[in-house]
Amino acid sequence: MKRSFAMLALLTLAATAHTGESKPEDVAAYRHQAMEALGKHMKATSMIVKGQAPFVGDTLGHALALNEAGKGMLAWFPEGTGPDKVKSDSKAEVWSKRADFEKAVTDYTAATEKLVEAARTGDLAQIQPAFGAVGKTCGGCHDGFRVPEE
Amino acid sequence: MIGAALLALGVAAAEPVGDVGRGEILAGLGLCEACHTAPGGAPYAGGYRIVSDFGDWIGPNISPDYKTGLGAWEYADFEAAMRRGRAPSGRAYAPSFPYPWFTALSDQDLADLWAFLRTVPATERANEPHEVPARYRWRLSMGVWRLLYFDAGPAEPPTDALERGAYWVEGLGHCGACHTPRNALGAPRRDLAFTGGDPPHAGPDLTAARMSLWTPSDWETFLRMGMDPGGDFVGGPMGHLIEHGTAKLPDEDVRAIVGYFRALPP
Repeated sequence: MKRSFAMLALLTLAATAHTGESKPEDVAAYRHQAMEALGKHMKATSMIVKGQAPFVGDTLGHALALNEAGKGMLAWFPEGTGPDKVKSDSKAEVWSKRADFEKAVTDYTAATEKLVEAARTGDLAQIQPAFGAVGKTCGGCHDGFRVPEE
Repeated sequence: MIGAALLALGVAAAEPVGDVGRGEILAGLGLCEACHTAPGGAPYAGGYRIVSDFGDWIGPNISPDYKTGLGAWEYADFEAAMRRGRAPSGRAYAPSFPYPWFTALSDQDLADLWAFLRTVPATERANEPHEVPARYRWRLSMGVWRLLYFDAGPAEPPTDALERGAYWVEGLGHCGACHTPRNALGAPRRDLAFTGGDPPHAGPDLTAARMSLWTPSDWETFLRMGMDPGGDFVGGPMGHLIEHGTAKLPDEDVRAIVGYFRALPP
C-alpha cells in the first residue's frame, strides 16, 4: 500500500519537472487526473476517519501523498494552460490572482503537513480535526479558482 | 418602582431571550454573512453584489453600527424585516432578500439570530443603492409581487422528521433560492423545485434524477464536511453554509434535512 502512495508522489514530482516541454492540454488533463487522485485519497481517508474502514495505519500513506502533491501543485498551473487556451475547469483567476492562488496552495500544503503529523500518532482523535482542516483548504481554493462541478 | 419592574417584565415577555451561540449557527445556515459582506470586507457590513437579470442587488450593512447598520433597530424591526419583508419605514424589501423563506422561522430561532447579530462588530460602512431599473423598486411592483408570491408567517412547529427537514430547507436555509429556477418575475418555480437554479448562484439539481447514487451517509458527509461521494470538496456559498451552519447543527436536524431532500419527487 505505502509503496504505491510513494510512487504516486514520485510520479507527481517527476511530471511537474517537465511541464515546459509538455502540450498545454496535456498539462491541464494531468492536473485534472492528479486532483481526482487527491479526491480519492480524501475520500478513502474520510472512511477511516468516520470509522467505516478499519485502516488507521493507511492514513499516513494518504497524508503523505496529499502533502507531496501540495509541494508540487503550483507547477501544475503554468502560464498558457488556462481556460482561455485549453479545456480546463481552472478559472482564469488562477493566473490573474496568482498571489491569492499561491496562498491557497500554501494553506493546503500546511494543512496536509499537519495531517501527516497527526497520522504518525495513529490517533483518530488527532487525525479527525486535521482531516477536516485539509478539507476546508480544498473547498477554500475551489471557491475562487475552479469552475463549480455540474 | 413596581411599575418599572412590571414594565421590564412586559418587555421581556414580548421579546424572547435569544441564545447567541445558537444564533451564530443559524446565521451560518441562513448564509447571512455571505450576502451581507463584501469580498474581503468586514463581516456583515454589506457590499456583496448579486448580479441578476433584474440588475445588481447589493447586500446592505447589517452590523450593529448606528449610522450605517442596524444599530438603531429594535427586535420588532428585525421581526418585521424577516417575517414580513418590511423595512422600519414600512417599505417592502425586494425578494433579493429571501424573506419569503425567512418568514417561516420560529419566534425562538428569530430571537437567537437577532441576539447573535447584535454581537458582531459594528462597522461603519454606508450602503450603496441597488443598481436595478426603477420599475423593480416601485412600491407598487413590490406590492403586486408580494400578493402573488408571498405567504407570510412562521411555520407550524415540526411534529416529525420530514417536517423538521422542511422547516430548515424551506425556511432559514432558503435552499430553493439557489437550487430552484425562477420565473420571469424572479419567483421560484414550485413546479420545478430543486431541479437546479439560475445564475449567478446556480445551485445544482438536488432531485433524485441527479442524486440517486447518493446514500444517506453521503448526504450527511456532504452537509457535515463539504465532501461529495467522489472525495471532492465544495467551496463557494455552499461551502460557507456547511462550515458555519450544517456542520454545527445537531445530528437529528442534519438527518431531517437529508430525509427531506431524499423524499423529493424524482
